[in-house]
Amino acid sequence: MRKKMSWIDLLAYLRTWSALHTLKEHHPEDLLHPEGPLEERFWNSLRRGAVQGNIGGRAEQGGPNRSEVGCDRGAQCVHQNGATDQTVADPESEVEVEWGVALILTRKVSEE
Amino acid sequence: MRYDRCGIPFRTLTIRHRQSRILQLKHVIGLTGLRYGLSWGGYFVKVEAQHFGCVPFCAPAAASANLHVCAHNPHPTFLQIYSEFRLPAYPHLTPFIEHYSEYTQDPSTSVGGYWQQPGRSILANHLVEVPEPNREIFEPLERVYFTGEHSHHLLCRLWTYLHIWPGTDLRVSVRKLESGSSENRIIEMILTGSFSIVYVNILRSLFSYPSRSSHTSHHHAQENVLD
Repeated sequence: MRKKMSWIDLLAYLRTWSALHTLKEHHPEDLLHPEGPLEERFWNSLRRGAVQGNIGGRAEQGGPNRSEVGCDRGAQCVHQNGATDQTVADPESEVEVEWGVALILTRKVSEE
Repeated sequence: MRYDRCGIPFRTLTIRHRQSRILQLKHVIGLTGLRYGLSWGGYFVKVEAQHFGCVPFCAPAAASANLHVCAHNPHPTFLQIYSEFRLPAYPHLTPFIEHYSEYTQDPSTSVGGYWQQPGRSILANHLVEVPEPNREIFEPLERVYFTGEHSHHLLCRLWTYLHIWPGTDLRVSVRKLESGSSENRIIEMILTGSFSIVYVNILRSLFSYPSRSSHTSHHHAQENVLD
């Protein structure tokens, strides 16, 4: 299943995850993180990884380092002194998202 | 793919999200609807049955399957889930996404430890753990996978199960499926196309629980022929 959406929409999707809601119940301090809540840090890292992959950066060597999720700077770099930061994908730009789908099918055995 | 034995017993069915309090999921379901021509109406979504070819009932849903599918006709059945998302334009981000979704040790980098279990694992494993139903009540399950270019990952998972579960050997069965075809040919079939349909009728018997004998599993493998 594929869908093109903006990066902003992707962030909205990430915020629907039940696991994220449960995490926030257990770790309310996450909201106070200076670089934003967990889903935003992850989202910013994705956007940065997308751009770096396109320009042949570090992402080609395996994507953003996992430790970056906790030290993201993408959200702060989107606009600096009015200039657009080229190191992260534009939140309004589109990205294609894909989900694998599994179906299980059966039917009742005929009684005849 | 082969749906000829299924038929289409009714035109529409209704999908209801089990946790209607999570209103944001409307958006996600809406995405599904766009793909399959669904129309959104409150908490319920109607879908044209022919989009699925073979149809539904109330499935014994895995604990956290995203959609619980019910149909007006209680006889035919299906259960559908979508697994982890990917960004196909950026495959190098897949491990990063998996870390965020599945890694369980560090809540500062991952939500993985906060899914409802074992439901989430069942979902992430593409419902492989859903057992065969009582044969006196239901026909044997058919398992169908829709994958994109990230299906390397899916295939690897399926392969893993085949190695783990005794009495199953996809390689042998694939050769029986398509005489003269190589494993690479089968993999190529799966990977071609932007939205390939992987029809895995043959895997039905291979995904049996370990309690089933290897003899039974291989016997079924011989009976099922991939169209």
